[in-house]
Amino acid sequence: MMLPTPPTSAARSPLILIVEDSFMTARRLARMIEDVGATVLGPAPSVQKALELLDSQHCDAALLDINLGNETVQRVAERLENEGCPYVFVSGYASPKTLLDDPRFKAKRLISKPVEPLVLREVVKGFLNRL
Amino acid sequence: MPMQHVHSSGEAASTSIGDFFLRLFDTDFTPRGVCVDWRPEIVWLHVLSDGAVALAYYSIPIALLYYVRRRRNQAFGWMFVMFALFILACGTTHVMSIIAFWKPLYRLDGVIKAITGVLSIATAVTLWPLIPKALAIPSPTDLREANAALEKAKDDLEHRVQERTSELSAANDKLRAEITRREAVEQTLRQSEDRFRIALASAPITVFNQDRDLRYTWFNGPPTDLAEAQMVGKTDAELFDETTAARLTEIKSRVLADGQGQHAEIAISGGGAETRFVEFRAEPLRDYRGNIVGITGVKMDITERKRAEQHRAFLLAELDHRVKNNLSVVLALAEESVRSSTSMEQFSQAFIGRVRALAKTHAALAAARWQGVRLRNLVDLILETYTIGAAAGVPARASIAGEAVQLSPKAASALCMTLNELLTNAVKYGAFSTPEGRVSVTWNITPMPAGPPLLRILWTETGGPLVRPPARRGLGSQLIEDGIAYELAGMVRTDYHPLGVVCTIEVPLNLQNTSRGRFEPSTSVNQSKDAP
Repeated sequence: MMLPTPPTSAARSPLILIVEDSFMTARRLARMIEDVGATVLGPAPSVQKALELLDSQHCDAALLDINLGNETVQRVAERLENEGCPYVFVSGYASPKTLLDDPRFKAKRLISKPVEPLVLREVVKGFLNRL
Repeated sequence: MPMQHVHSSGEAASTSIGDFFLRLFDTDFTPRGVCVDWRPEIVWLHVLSDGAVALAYYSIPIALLYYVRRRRNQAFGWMFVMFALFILACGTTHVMSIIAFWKPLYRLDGVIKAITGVLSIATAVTLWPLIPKALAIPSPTDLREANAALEKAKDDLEHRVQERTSELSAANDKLRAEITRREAVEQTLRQSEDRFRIALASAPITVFNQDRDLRYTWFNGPPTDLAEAQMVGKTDAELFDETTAARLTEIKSRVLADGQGQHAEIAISGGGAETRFVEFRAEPLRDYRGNIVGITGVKMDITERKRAEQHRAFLLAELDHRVKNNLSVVLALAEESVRSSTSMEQFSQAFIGRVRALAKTHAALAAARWQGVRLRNLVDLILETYTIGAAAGVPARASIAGEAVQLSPKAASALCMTLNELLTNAVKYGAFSTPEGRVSVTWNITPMPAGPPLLRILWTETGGPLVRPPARRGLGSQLIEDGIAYELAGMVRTDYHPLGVVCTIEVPLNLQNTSRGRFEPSTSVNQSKDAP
């Protein structure tokens, strides 16, 4: 699961970045994404790890946990925004202030934790349709 | 007046005046009785009549003199005396007429008449000029009337005085009642003012007045606020920063304009002090005619409350976050445990044990009020079953020793999960699967040349069965090794030494993994040694 599939053809499975600091939750999200036929980039537990992955690999979409312990995923979201890469936020916060108050991220979809497999399936389908 | 008879004895009439007075008492004339031939009826008629007149004439002066003597302040008293003398003289002429019937003392008689005449003339002469003056003297009737009028006037006056007095007395009573009322009002006001002063002195409340130009005219606040001397005469623009002053002025101007009280929560900054939050209320200040002459303002410092509210909101959000994260982890554990289990029994053992480990982490974190957990407490909790014997004299099967280190909630959770998996393996296959086996958990902190100090934990099993490395890497092994690596950027190495498993856990004590990062500013990495 940790090994990204190199982009070989148009028919390749989409590569989806996961940024999530909880080991077990990251495993679960990765499994769900693999279950709908996509490939996982990461998962990355921190902003630094995520940015390193993005440097080495182009991703098609991303699932971003907002709160990563003592940092937020903001810098990753900014980078994806600049690259025009679709992404959704994942958070345990009912109304995470800091990040979603930012007008750039206001319109972004937020999936609340714990993530429902059916919800995630719809989101990933949405990503696939945009490819 | 008695009748005079002319006698014929002529030589006596030609004598000198001296001779006349010498012969004053001579009776050398014919008595009057002779003139009437001593006819008794004529004599008695004259004698009795003259006697009566004389008697009356003698009595009148006595009455007059008596009157004058008694009435000392009688006006013209001397006139009464003159009347008395004149009447007395008249009486005497009548007495002389009686005497002349028998003794003809005509010289004396004439002298007396002359005196009488002089007195009469004198009285008459003095009487006339006296009349107007006498008329000017009020008569007793006048006096009575005047007196009555006076009496009436006096009564009227007394009546009016009485009326006026009762009016004054009523007015006085009214005044006194008013004074009493005002004293009561004053006392109530004073007590009220005392109450408010005491209340104000013991409350974090500032009260102030500003005039129509919004200059402070009066200011009373707790010692923590600005002093009156700093405020009076100044405007908000001179005291606070631009934003604060603009906000205050806007609210206060509205109060001045429409006379309606205003209420707002405001952040106040400026004047070199840190930003404070205040609850602010402004009401119009009116003079006795009702004109708005300024404002009365009350502000209460609610900074502490605001911070508490923010902290509470933060804690609630944090709790919500943790609960959802934990549920997310539980779901993942359940799903992973299902995948790696071949039987229901295997699943429930693995899953329930892991949820218990989560519960222990939660207990440790809650006990530490989510501000980080000491590693010692965490290890104690995990190995509780194998150390509890020490208290009862039974040799403990686990020993724990290490430096004091305070872990962040996240690091505590990850370590708890790993230690729990190690314990599960020890119970199933390792040192705790036989009665003789022992486990020791020790740790130390090593300063690193570059980067944060490194926490190294050693899990060492001894006295158990012969160890064989597992045929495949199961979920337990992944949880032990990958969780720490992923979540804490640490490293876990399991050495399946034949005499006992030795597991080395290395965790960098960076901001994320110690409790210094979020809650505790100073005492995150405790330098003192934990008791073994």
